[in-house]
Amino acid sequence: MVSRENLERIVAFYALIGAVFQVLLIYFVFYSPSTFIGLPASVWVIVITGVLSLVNGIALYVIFNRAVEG
Amino acid sequence: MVEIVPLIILIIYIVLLLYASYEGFRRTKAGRLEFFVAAGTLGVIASFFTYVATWVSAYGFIGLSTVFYAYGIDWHLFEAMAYPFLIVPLTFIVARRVWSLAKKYRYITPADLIVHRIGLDIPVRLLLAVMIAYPFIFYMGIQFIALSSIVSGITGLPYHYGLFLFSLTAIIVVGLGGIRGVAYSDILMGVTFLILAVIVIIALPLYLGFGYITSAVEGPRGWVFKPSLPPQYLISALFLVSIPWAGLIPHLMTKLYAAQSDRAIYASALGIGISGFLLYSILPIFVGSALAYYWPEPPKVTVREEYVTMFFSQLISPTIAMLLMLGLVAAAFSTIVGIAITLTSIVHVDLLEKTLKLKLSERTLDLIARATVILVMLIGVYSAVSPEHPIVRIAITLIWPGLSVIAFPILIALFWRRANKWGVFLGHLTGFLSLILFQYFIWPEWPHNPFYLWEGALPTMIGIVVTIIVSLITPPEPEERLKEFFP
Repeated sequence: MVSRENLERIVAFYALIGAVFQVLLIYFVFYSPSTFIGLPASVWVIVITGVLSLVNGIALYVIFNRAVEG
Repeated sequence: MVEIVPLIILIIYIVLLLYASYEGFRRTKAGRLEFFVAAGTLGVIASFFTYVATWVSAYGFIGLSTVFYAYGIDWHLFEAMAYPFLIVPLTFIVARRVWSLAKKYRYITPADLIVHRIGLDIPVRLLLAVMIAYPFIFYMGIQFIALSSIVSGITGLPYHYGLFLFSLTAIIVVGLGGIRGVAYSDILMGVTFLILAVIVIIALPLYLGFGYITSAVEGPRGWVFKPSLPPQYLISALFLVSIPWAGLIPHLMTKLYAAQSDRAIYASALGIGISGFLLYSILPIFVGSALAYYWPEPPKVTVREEYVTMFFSQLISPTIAMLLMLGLVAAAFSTIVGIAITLTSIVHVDLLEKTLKLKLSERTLDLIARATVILVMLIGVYSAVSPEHPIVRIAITLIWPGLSVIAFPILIALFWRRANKWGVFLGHLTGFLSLILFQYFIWPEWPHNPFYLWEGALPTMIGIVVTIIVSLITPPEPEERLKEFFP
């Protein structure tokens, strides 16, 4: 169990790191002309982005509901 | 030729929505706290559905699919990228903070929070009323465009008939219901919308063949998969558009005020994660690619959003397409009504009560507020009469900048003790004035700045810088007030 304040700090830091990851993804992958399984990199970036939205939503929901003190 | 069966289905659904609103209205107890924010008593399920339904609108499904097909994939990424690391995680922090303060101090309007934090009353209420009304006019307008495109694209009735039908329905709903009414109808809306999303993902490969996305990439409209926007446009938007949506968008703030517990806030954040995946990332790829595959050359339409509705009407059948689109009707309506309730609370509380200090009965004040909001909504309807751009472009250019210049000074005030009344007030004022100046006078051509940043980037940054610098050079807020915010 962690205090909410500490958990919020950790999540805010995670958000920052994630946003930097997204900047890199946009710069180096989204504009790339490569394809994978017949689909362009731009489509894969959106698919990855979507999956991460879902995974982060579920994971943080579980964490905030179960790991916060009180 | 007009398709009668889908039209009847639509009318039956609208009657159901009106009934749900009426039920909510009947169960609403007296008092403005109950009427506007359900006295903070909405449980986890009602909060989840009402927050998600208000959030989603028709923007994701119809809007992003249309802009993908008409302008290219980068406009789709513009929205999708906001979710995974900024909107979703920060909702657990920012939205919860807004909720916890509202729960404790019983806020009704978005301005209540900021007035309480910085202690400047009437100027803040007046300024925020103008700043919120400006983007909300267009926000309601794009919902009417999407709704009317459903009528024209599927039933064959002229676009403007649809606009009339939905304007009339919206006037009745806004006239009737408070937030509880919206929450009840939102449960109906949310369920139909989820069914739509799942069916579309299954149906498209079955009708078009499993390789249709690859065929679209290799086809004559394959250019839509190649990005053309400059990276600085997307990067500036990533930070400056996304963060406000973690709980600082006015009509969503009202929904947060209505939640009973922080579990409801966490459930809403989960709902946004699911929506970000399904409606803002995956579905527009499926539908936008299907459009590029099916129509390498766009068909003739009144508004571009008809591409999506016409496509489903032709591909499946008008009747089934209408059944699928009911979820969109629901979502668009929920957004319109959510905005209207927030605007009504602003006119009622911020303007009539706190600014003009009118000594009228609550019922009279409410009637004046609703009549004003219906007028504001009709301006939104007017903006939908003959739109020049797809709804996503309207949102990115006109609505999101207006919302970002409101949100960032509030965000700073919520998490930085040193922020004070002069910093926040001038941050709002300069952000909003520079937005109007840049967009309409200094750089009237897209993207309204010489650096190819997102349209709202410069005004939002000006607002942030002014909030910080002015707060630092003027005295801090009294310790007693700060203790209420930073215990």
